Amino acid sequence: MSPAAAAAVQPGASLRAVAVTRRFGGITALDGVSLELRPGEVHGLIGPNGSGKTTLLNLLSGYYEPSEGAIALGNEPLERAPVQRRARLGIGRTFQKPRLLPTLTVLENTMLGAWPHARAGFVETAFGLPRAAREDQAARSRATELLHGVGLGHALARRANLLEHAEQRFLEIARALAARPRFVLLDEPAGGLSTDEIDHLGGILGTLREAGIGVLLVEHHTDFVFRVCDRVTALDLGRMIREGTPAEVRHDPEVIRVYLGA
Amino acid sequence: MSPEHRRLGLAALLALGAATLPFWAADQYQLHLATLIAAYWVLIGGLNLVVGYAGQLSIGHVGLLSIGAYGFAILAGKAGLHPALAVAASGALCGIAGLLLGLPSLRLPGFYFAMATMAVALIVGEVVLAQGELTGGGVGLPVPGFPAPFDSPAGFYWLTAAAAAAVTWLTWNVARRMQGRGLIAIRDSVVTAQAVGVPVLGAKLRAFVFSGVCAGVGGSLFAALQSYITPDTFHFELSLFFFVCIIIGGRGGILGPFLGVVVLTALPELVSPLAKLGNFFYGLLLLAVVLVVPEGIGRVFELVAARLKPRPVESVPVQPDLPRLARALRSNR
Repeated sequence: MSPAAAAAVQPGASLRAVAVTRRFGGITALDGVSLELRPGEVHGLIGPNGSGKTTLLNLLSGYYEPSEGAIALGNEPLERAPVQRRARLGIGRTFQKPRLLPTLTVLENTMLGAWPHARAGFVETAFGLPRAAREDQAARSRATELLHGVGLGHALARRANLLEHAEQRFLEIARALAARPRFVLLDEPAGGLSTDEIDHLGGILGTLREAGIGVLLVEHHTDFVFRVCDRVTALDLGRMIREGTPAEVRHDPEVIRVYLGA
Repeated sequence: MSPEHRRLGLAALLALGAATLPFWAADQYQLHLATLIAAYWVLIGGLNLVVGYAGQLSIGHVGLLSIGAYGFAILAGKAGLHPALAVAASGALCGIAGLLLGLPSLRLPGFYFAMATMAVALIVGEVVLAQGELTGGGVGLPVPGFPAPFDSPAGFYWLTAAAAAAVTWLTWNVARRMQGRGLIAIRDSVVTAQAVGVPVLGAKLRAFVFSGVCAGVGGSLFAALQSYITPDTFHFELSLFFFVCIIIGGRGGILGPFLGVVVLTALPELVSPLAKLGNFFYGLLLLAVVLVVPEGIGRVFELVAARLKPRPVESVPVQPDLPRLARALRSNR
């Protein structure tokens, strides 16, 4: 966390969407939805296709601005803040379709995630002043640890375009963690993973929770969501239909009707 | 030997060969060619960060080269400034020109940015023609050389080669650090660049201004080498040539584009049958590279080695080490 950005937000603050609405032309993708993501909590976001899950994630991470409503981190209003500012404030994310830099190695892809901590600017770097090398070294060793941690220790020097699907997903998580985030927003991280790999993902999410990181989990594997999440929000047609513990949401008649099926 | 070491070894060999070139060059013409390559590289080395790393299709750098060249010719010639000062002033001037050009145009996507840079190159050419009082118009302008010890062909070669080495060192520093990764992120996925916090326009602009400064210095040396410049010296094909050198060399490397400049400049001159082919040779080479080694000639050896000795990527199941992950997350939060 860069000192200036971190100072603006009190520790323990949660990331909130308050009655956010997002319209695309005449279509209302999200209609007055609220969600609070607390540190150290895994929060599931479920719903049928087109229910507004990814729209909400994009509103929280800054790719969209809300048409109405507020986004805030603690007391810090964020609804107009660009993606980059939110990254510096500690909001990281992954993508439904992994977005890696194909010609860079796994290690370099992860090091990129530490961008918010690099203070050496362009000119300073160009003239080879020691700070850039020092920061790079720190990013390298931390990225190495994170990659071993998520299970990619065998592929550090491999070019990202040679990774298998599961490896790409875990690399995206490692890159998000390299920024030392307060919150990570994961867009369908279990998509395309095998049962074993989903278990591994669950272990990683548990570790993030214990480290005090807030995790928003947008996911279609509802069994997985109910197993690993502390709280779950269910959306349908852009509206929130239920928010609560996994047990409450799982047995909610409305959730069963529109999404889970009998 | 890792590819990293091999590349460093090759770079060291190239540097040694370049430093001793005046002693083994066959004739003055070869030395002139080498100086020309070095002057081009001062510009292309900087442009490489914009095209090869940040992926921005600037095809108008001949405009900046021309501003640098005329700036030097006017300041060192008509105004009587010391050539070293004139080079510095031309570099600064082109840096400012780069800022003024980049600020509005770098917001444009892909081809629109390319069109904007092309338009500027054409406008600069017209302005040079129109401002005859200052630039000599269509007749051109004599360019003063550098004082001793840089007044001999060998001395001027070493000066230009030193500038080329300096540009290489600066770009290498950027390329291998976080700044370089940020530029590559802009090239490969703007969305990712944003997600990790890279200020996209700011990072592009810094690289572009840097390339402007390089074009100013390169233009000064280029002009001094030519000793006489006219608007025809800065034809638009030269701009495409700079761009093509980087594409043929390969994006995302430094050695590749350098080999690109050397091959495209020296080969048609040294192998006379190729000279007759002229632009046809460029076209053929470009086509061959794009079709056969789209990653560029900088990676040919690597790719051939991989083809000869294929190392199957063994599939290792992803096996997280959660205690290690927890330690990494706790450390220096």
